[in-house]
Amino acid sequence: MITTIARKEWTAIVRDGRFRWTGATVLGLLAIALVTGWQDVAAQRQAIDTARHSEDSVWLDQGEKNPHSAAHFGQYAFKPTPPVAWVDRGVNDYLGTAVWMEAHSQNPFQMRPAEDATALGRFSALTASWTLQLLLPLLIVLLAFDAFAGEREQGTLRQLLSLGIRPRDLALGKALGISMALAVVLVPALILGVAILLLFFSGSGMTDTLARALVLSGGYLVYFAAFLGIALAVSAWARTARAALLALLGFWIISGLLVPRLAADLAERVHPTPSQQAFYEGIAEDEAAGMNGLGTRAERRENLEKELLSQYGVETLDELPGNFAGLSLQASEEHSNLVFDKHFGELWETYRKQEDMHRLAALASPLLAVRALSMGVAGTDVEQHRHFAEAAETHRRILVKQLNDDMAENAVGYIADEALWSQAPPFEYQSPGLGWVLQRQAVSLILLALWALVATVAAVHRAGRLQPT
Amino acid sequence: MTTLPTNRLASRSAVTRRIVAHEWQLLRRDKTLVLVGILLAAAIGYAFMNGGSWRSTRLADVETIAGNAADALAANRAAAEADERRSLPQNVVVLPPGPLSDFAIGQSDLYPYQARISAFPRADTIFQRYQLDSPTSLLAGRFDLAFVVVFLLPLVIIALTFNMLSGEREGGTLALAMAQAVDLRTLTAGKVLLRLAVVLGTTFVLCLAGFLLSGLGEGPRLGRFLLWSTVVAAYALFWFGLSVAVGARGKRSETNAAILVCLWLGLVLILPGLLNVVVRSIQPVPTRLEYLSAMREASNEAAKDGAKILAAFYHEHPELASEEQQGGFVPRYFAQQRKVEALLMPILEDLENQLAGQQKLVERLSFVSPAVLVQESMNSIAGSDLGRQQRYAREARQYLGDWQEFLEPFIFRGEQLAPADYDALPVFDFKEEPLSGMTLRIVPSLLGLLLPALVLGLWGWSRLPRYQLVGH
Repeated sequence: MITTIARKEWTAIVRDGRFRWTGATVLGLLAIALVTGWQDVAAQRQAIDTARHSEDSVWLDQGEKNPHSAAHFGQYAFKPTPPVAWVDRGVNDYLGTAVWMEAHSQNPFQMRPAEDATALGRFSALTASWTLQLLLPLLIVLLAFDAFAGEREQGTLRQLLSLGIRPRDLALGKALGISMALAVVLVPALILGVAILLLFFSGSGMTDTLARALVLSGGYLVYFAAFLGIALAVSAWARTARAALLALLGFWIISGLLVPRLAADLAERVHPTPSQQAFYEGIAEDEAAGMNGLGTRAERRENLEKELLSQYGVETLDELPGNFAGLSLQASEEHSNLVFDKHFGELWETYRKQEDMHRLAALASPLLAVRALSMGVAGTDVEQHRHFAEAAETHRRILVKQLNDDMAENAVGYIADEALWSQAPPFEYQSPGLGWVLQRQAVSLILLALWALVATVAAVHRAGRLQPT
Repeated sequence: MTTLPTNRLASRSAVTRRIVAHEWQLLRRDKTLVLVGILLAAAIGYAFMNGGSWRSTRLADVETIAGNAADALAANRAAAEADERRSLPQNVVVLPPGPLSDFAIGQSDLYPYQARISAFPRADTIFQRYQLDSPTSLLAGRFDLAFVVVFLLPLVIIALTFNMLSGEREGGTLALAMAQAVDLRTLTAGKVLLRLAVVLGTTFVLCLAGFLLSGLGEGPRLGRFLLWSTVVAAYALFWFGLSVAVGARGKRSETNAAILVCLWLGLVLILPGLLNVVVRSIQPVPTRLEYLSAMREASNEAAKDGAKILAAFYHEHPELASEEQQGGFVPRYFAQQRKVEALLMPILEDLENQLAGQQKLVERLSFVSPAVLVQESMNSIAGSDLGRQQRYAREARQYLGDWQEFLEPFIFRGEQLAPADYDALPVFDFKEEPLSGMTLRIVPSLLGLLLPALVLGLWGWSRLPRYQLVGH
């Protein structure tokens, strides 16, 4: 029985000119988004690769200089673009791609792609994730709004129910039929996606990439199921097809356009990010006054001198073995690290609290749940940016310490060369695995599943109370 | 449908008045429409609050930065007057938020708004202070008035107009109305006029209230507000024209609604995204990473050749040479930085020219989508646009050059500034674009909205006599 209903629904949809048009449009947009997104990500990965190689040779080729000069010259780290970013760019465009790791300061990321956007930047970019999150649900609404309401208006619902069909079977059949129509759009897009993945992103880490693609597809399917359930429930509940359409469009606008912006505003209001001015002033103040009661800059230096003189049992700094400047620089570096840990730590915590609010706002918008999950799995969310930023900062500290130590061990006026530069530890970044991501996306996973569950229950429940008129 | 030609005009205006009054009674009693009106008002109010607080926060930030810079400069001068040890004078130049940026934040939450001016920064590195706004907020976009106008206002217009005629026909009242001494065009005109008055009235009364509350104090705001209102009215007229044209085809209410929503989707959401793809493939912009690599190599070479660069500099400027400074760190670093800058600025300028070219292309193509046209015009009027940002960047770099040119003789002679020299330091003066120039720039966009509105409206108007009064 269910299959008969599904087949009828499918035939009705496919014969409807509206579906052919909207379905073809969505599929076309999805294909464009997949192809251009792949080109973008491939170009970006290439550019980052080139920049990294150039940076490596620049570091080795810096000639003879004082190690501290080398620490000032520093190194650049480039945030890798994961292959799955091709489906979802997430917040990558709003965070920088490069960070300068130099002595004395933890620098912010540079080169945010969004800064180079034209006036179109405030409109959504045509990406696969945007199409899947915003347009696909609209297609579902268009396919499902008159599933029950339409039959009721045409009087066929009374006939159907008089045949003794269980309303639950009717709902299931309708859902199946509509899903088959959706598959016509989604399956070709999925084949295109997998083809691009296998052809152009193969190589190391392929199993991880495939696992991510699988989770991503699963997440989006649950999201579509939630929308389908909501659409069927509303269609069963509404008295006319028109009312069903209006209610569903309203829900789509609220979920897709309004709640994301409102949630972002609210999060910034409740957990405001400091202005750059205030942020750097705070760092400068702590630098000057000293952390953990260590005293002002002058006091810290004086204490260090005293400590070293008594440690080596000498009278003047010149009598110390090696170079005092190197020791002093490293001590100041270690103090600065305390300052950075405090201020950047607070900033990351603010972002995390904001993200938590966005995630909770998914209670009002299923799009937010799938957006967070999708960005997370694609490796383009704020948390994974933090992961990279912290890895880069750790590397900066190791690098600077190595150079300061080398300076301290040698005599005043010592000049280092490539022998030392080549000893610098390589920055090998290991991005977090899928398990790490899913653990952090638990709330989004639960809320997404909850939406799908509630929507299914609502659809079945409403179908059970179908009124023929 | 034909009345006596002599008093046709007079009777028509009387009839229109009666239609408007009657329609008003109907609209007032329609719960959905009242709800839509309340939602629009709430959205405008919220957007106003949001934009206003964004602008005042930015304004306060900019004032703090400028105040701190002025204090530092004054302290430096005081040290000169007391003849104490002092560093070379520094300055910070800021870009205040656009005069009407509480109406349209645009992308100004992404652009840098302070540049540090002193002897050593290079023109390519003065804007490296980043704002820390939550990246997810930047991704979601701001809930400002421009968002309400571009995205939501068309939906309100669609909700108010999609069944203007079809609803009456489906209710059976259209034929009844036509049996009176009124023609369909007069009826439609009355309905459109009332709805236009409701939409624009609500929008403008609220915006005017917000505008007055946020303070008329600054000169350029009023003129810009009027220009902004004109753009909003033109955009609203476009959607009314579109709705009349769709309605005149005589389809059922649901069909009209579906067509209009699809058009909204296409014009507001899909076309801008597609334009983005087209623009980026016609006029791709190289990544900044190439500039970064070039910068690193140039810095490396300059550092290695520091002594040679300095020697070459003194060779060119023998008048600046002095015994004790020849090997000093300050002149050497200064000369190095100028050398690196000379190597890098062409690369950066090339990149920025390509960006500007891309933006030009967007401006030309934006006529395809009224939403893009309106967003761009609003950004320009508000002072949140790329053009103003680029002008600021150019002027700040120019100022950096002037500042360093002024300091150059002091650096190479190893001298410090005397108190009197401070009066001669260059002054930064960023001027907003005059209203006349901006108006001229907005006119093509206005035409790009009004002409399609007119064509669509007239096409619908011409179809009206053929409208089927009963059926479906």
